[in-house]
Amino acid sequence: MPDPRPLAPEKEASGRLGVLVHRLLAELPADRDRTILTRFYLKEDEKSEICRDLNLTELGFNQVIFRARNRLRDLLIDAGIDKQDLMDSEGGS
Amino acid sequence: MSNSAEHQPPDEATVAAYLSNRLDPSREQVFEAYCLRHPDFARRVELDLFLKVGLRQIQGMDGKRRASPTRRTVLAIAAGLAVVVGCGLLLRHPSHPGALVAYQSETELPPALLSRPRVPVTLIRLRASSSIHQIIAPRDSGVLAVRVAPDSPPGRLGYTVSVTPERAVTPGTVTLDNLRADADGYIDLYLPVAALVGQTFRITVNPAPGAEAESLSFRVQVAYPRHAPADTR
Repeated sequence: MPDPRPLAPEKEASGRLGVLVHRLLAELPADRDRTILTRFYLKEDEKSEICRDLNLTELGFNQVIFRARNRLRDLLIDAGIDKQDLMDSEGGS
Repeated sequence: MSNSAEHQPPDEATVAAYLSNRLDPSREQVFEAYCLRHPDFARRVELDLFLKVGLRQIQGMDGKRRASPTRRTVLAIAAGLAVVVGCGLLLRHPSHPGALVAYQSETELPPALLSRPRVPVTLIRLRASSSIHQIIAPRDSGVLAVRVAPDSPPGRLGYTVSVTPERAVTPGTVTLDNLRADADGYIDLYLPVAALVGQTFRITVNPAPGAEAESLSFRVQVAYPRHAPADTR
């Protein structure tokens, strides 16, 4: 059930972190990868359940997560965002 | 979790469960202990947290706008794992018992403390927890070099950090005002090990008097190694 949640336009994503994660999702090569991330991190579905639904091996799942995490780290570094910024943006100011 | 689990990196599912507050207290403790020993892993957990929060921010703009995610959202997700990174281990003879004092910078340290090995400790809150962070300080160590990652912006006058013993073995609370985070975003302070050892302290960071942000608090217990070498020579 690859049903990636439709994304809001990047400019509308609230918070700098949202913008970066939006960019990260946009860069992913396959809808399936977006589905993995949204189901795992947002919907908090079980890894085994996601793998089963998407006919994915554990290794394949781990690779998607691993690459996403590394890419986000790079984006955070490039954007100069740290934990403090995260808190600021969540403050809704 | 078994002993062997304490030495293996937690898997993706465990990290996810931790960030969603779904680990039972004992597994949570093992997880946090692993983070304490592996700062790289703790950083990885932080990235997962960022992914979660970023996705929530996107979702927040997608169709129905839930009650807009406030700082509390993060503090709830982010809520308090205190990651204590890197407690150094060295040794020599016991130090003098001292009064509880806090120094804002290395340059303020008296020579007697400056010349001794220091115990670096980094405190980062990821999720709320009141667990005590145990620090084993070498018997010859001079100061606990504490780096705290504040999770709220500073007030106009910076941050206020207080160190309070939970029992009155060492009387009083020490407070440092007008502290600023360094370029890496950490607040530094130095505490004499001799005044801390054998006690549990609460280190509390407040953005500024009157600021709305919640205070950030860590419980830290300092002890000497239980089985210190009788003589290293």
